Amino acid sequence: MNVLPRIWSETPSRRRARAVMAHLAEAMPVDTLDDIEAKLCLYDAFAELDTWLPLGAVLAPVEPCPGTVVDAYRLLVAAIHEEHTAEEAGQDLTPVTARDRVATGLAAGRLRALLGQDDAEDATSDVTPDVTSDGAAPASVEPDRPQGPR
Amino acid sequence: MTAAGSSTTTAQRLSAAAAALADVLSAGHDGLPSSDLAIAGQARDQVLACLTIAQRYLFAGLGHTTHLSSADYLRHPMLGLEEALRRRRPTGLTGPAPTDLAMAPPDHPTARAWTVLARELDAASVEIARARPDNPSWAWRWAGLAPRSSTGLPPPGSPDVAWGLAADLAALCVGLAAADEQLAHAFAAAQTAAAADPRPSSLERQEIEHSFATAHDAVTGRSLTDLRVVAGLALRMAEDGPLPDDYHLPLHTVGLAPLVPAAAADLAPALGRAQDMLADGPPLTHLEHRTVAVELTRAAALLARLVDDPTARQALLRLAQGTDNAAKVWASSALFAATEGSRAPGDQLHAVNAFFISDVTVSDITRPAGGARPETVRDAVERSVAQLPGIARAAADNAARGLNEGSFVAVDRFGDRYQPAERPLSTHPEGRRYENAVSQLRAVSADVRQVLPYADPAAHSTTTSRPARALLRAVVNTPSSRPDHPALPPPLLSRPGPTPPRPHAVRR
Repeated sequence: MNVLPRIWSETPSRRRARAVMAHLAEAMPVDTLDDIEAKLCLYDAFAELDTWLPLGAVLAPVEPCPGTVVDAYRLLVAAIHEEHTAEEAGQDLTPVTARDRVATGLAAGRLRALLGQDDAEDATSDVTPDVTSDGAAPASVEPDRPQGPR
Repeated sequence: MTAAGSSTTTAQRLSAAAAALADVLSAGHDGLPSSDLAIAGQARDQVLACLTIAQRYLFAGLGHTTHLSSADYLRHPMLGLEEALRRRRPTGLTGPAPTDLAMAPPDHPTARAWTVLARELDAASVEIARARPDNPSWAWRWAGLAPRSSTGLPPPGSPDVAWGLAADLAALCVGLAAADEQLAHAFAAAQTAAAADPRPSSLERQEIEHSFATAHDAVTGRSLTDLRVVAGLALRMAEDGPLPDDYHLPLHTVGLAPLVPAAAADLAPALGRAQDMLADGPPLTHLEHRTVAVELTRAAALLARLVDDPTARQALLRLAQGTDNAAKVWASSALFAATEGSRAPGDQLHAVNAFFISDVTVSDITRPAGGARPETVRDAVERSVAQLPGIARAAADNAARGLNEGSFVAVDRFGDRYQPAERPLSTHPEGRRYENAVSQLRAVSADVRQVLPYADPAAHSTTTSRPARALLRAVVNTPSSRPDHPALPPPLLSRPGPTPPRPHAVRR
């Protein structure tokens, strides 16, 4: 069986958000029931991004990238209004559909439940993902691609 | 589902049928009034139909019997038994409707036992017919009686279960043949009595005579594939190895809708269905595995808040950590699913978790008005807790099955493109990562099952009834005459004597 399923295109921010979420899945503690319940919100965000895909399509695998919940949240919020970039032109891209935007918004909503009140206000005040300014924010899932604010 | 949803297993149903058949044979048919004889005849026809159906489903994997010669039936007792059942004719007698019989059972113990036998066997045959198609007929392939599947892999299903079922059905067939011999005398007597009875009109008398004469011919008809002889051979063949005392045929669960719990009592059956879906359904995709792992984590966390026992709470936390580990692996999966999978197990677990956090549950289970939870609710929660390790184990087994059967494809990345990896999944780093996750989940499931203070009903089911084949032992060992057919080679049809216990025939 050598036929791969169709890989659904994602905007750069959304893909990076998933990479950060994959890192969080590894990094978040599960020592107590409270920890586990918090982590379930993260998994719910994963599920939101998957369940809105067309039948037969899957998201590309991502490698975990360091980052915080705030980073992932801000990336998702930015991805809601994002289009494919010019450097991706020529690739076999699927358009950013309304379902993609709704799914991204729902996933962001799931992550928001993990943010404290202050974090939520800070994250919402500036939704532009400046992921390299503080040095701790996520890199890309593709290390060879230049990173920076979009 | 085993003991989770229904307390009666298939083996126990067949055992109840065998007990009723033994009652029929011990009570005999002497002095049975003609009305009760009609009830017995009708029930006997139902028993014959149920045994035929059950036998046909049991050996569905061996192919049709229509192209086999008579000698083939003798060479293969299992196929011969199906053919012998098919050649048996119904008596055609008509008694009261089953509902009437349920409301007003017949007085004669033999007729009453016949109705019980028909009812129990009907339930068992429906269970056998509704079992998943690869169970138990695929088990024969594994047992080496039929060719293996095209992939060369052993299909799921246990040969022991299939052999146990074959032995019990064969014993019931022997019992039916013995009962037919008794019925033949009873029908002949009833025919004579009807002819001598001066009360009915001539036409009525002729009809009664004719119906009993037809019934007599049906139960005395002998052919090359004599039911008692062939069933005896089949039973001997089935007993030539280990047989389980208790077994159950799970419902075919592919495509089954989730059972949405409406009350606490529905929780255990709903969780049992999720386990069946994982065990009997197709290998899941990596996304579906992640969903199952996440929903299991959620269920464990929710139930940990509900249990009073600190040991159980700690065990559930451990289980949640284990399933979280699996979810973590599936969440960063770099494998692609090559099969369709099934969303049913995830949906089923989601329905259970939705019940836990619904408004009704919050008031009924988590925050009861009177302080302490009702006994029934506490029992339902404990049963649910006891089932979680089994579901985790079933999820791990499903993933292992998918990895072994090639349901996942490892990929190599070339820029923005993905190509199927050239090396096999077993040597691919992702494949090893998944295998580790599966073994870890199995280990956690086993650990938690040992620590949990509540007994898993599926793991600790105890059988209180003897197998059908054991109940009908006396009938089986009763000598019978050979079928009166000149072409029969004597060595094949000489009745086997009591089989001495064999060293490898270990009873479990």
